[in-house]
Amino acid sequence: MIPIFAVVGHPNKGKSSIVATLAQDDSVAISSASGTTRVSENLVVSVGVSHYTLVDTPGFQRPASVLKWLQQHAVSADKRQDAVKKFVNDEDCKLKFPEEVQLLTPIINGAAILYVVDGSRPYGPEYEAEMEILRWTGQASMALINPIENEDHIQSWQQALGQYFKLVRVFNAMQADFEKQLSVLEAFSHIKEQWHATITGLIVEYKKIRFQRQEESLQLLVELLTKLCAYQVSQRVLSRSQAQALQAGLETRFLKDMRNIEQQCHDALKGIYRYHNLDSEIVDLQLEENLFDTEKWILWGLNRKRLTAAASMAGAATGAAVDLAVAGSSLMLGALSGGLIGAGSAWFGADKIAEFRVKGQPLGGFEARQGPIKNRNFPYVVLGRYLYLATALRHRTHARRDSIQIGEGDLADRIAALSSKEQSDLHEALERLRRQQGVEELRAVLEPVLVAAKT
Amino acid sequence: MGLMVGFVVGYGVLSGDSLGRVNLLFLLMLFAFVPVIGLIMSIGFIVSGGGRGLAGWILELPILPPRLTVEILNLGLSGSRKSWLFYQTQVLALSFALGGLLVYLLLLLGSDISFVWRSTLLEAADILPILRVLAMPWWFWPEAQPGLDLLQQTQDYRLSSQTANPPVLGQWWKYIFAAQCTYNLLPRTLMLLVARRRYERAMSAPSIRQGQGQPSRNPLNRLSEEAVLAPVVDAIASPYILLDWAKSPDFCQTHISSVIGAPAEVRVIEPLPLATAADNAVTTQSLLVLVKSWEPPLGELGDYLHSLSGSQQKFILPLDWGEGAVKPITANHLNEWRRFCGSLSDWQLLQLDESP
Repeated sequence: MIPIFAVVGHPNKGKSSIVATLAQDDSVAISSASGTTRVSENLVVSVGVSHYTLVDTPGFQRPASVLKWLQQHAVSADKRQDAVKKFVNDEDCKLKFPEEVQLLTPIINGAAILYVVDGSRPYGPEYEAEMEILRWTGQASMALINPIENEDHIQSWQQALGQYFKLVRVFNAMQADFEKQLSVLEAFSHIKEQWHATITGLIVEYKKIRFQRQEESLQLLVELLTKLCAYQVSQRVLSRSQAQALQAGLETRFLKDMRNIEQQCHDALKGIYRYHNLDSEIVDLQLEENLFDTEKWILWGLNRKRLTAAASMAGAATGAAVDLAVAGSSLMLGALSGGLIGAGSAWFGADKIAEFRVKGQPLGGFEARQGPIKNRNFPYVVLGRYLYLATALRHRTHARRDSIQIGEGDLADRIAALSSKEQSDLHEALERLRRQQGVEELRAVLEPVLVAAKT
Repeated sequence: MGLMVGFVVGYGVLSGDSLGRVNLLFLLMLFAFVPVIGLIMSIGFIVSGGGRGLAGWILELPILPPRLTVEILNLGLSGSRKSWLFYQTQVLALSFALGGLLVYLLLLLGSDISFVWRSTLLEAADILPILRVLAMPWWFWPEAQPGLDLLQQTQDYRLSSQTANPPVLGQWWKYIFAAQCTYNLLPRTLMLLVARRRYERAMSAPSIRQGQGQPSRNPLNRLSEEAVLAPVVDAIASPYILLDWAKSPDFCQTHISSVIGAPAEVRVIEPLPLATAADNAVTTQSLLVLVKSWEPPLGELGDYLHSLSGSQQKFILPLDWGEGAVKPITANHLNEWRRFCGSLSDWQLLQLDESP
């Protein structure tokens, strides 16, 4: 049985915000203007293999009139639920009370009630008619006090709501953390027995998803750091002057690409946390200016040093094969002499090789290159910005519509909170990345700082 | 690269001495012992989750073009770099095995390889059990099993010019072939499959290049932004009747009186019943409906205001209060009421001008 919750209440008291937060969906329409929600909207929330449905409903518009109508159609308490059923199916009521018909229909069809009020404003008796109507439906219900501006009137609300609802919880749609969100579901599992197993399953799935998000955001961080630290743009040409002429174009492309890579990663991180409409602002990456370089290359892009090393190893390997053939009786002189011959030929013959042409194409030339970043702080800046966003997303709810200003955050404090070995591993890994050397255990090295950022 | 090295090394070992003699034990070391050690190390890496394999060490050598090194880093492997390196190591090892096997088969076809063995300490009877153990996996191939006779006939002494019948010396080829397939080719193929699976699993995690999450749905309930905002007035014609929809505390009425003068009459209004024609005919005085600024205008209020159909001047006054005093109304709330008032034909929105 799939649990279904109708979120109901006065207009503009945060119903849609609560739906957005619980569904973790920032595409739910939220407006400061009342009456935004005109028809009930079912939102199926998929949590791993489990599902539940939230119904965002219009606010009550004529509760006193509706209650009067119901009272006229129910002579005793046992007829009240039937009166509400009759109300939602009555054609005249659909015309006169469209909002109430919309909001009561899912409840009559079996949805549990999440009644939302604003705890920052005083309780008023005008709410009693709608609470009474909800009581007449006979469905399982819970009241959520949403302190929109402050918590000044929570106590008076608790006293009033306690007379109509079995469960009353304070739930700030803008600040409710993961545990708080789960607690609402958990509470329902106690008041609606037939949903207990499903809701328990949902909670387990939610916890799995939280772990999975952490893993995915870690993977993104690893990829971002590796990519940005190694990123370079280059172009091969025939002469050094041609290479130098490319400087301006390569610089522009490099800068644009670097920003795009970071932006894409941040967008992907938002996607992991299911923010599809969230805007973020970030200061452009400050990249050092003198990253341009031109270098002569010979054969497959190898420079003279690397060509010499490669030739030396190839020569040594060939010589070693000869040594093997004579079962080592050559005292490994084959490997030694092969290495020396290879190295000498490459070093002294490099220029000649570069001039050779195969089908008119030279085997050497010049390469204009922009990047990679050499600044030691660069990986830390990228890391800090990513952690800032990850932390903000984790502590944010999907009801918020403001943008995030991404800063570098308090990376130094976070690193300081790690153990000395974790710190040392992190510094070493970032230094290796800066030198464009792979780090096999980068995930494991970054995990503590990412986890620390989330607590 | 692995294929080439396997080919060169295989050729180096199998070409033997000037008489084409190849040390059988040496071959076994190359084609059985070393691969098995390598295999054990690879399995150890899988179990322990450590190590980066031969490919990792090769990538560290300064022999690759910088662009290639960066491209390898940019493959998006970082999270799964270890599994990628491990996979590449298996590719390398399998290529090496194939290179060795290829050169072996080519030399068998185009040359005469004489398999001999030499030892100062060991006799044929000492070696035979080891060779038999090694040959157990291909028990179904009797021609490739070792025999004491063959061992004795192929023992070689370099100072001795006497050798066994040359065709006998070639009979070990099946044994060596089976050893290569069993201890090198087959396990490395399996390891490659395992490594590939690990690598693919590691790569299945989301990456920057992949689209994340679900696309935004197209939600209902988008509000039209074209609402008309009513102007705000700050004066009301006296005398007026105060219709208290908000059921406000006394200090609110005191405050209103202090700013715009005392009302001629105060009525506390309920949503029901609506005003009747008789109610409307009673007075021509201005009407001032006092509402809570923070409560959005409900349909019930709209119904009530519509029921007040007299021709007198009509005003709505949203008021905010708390802690025993009237407070300034927030911009959000004011706009809410301006929108509401803008939708009514003969109502004006009043705000109290408290300036002296």
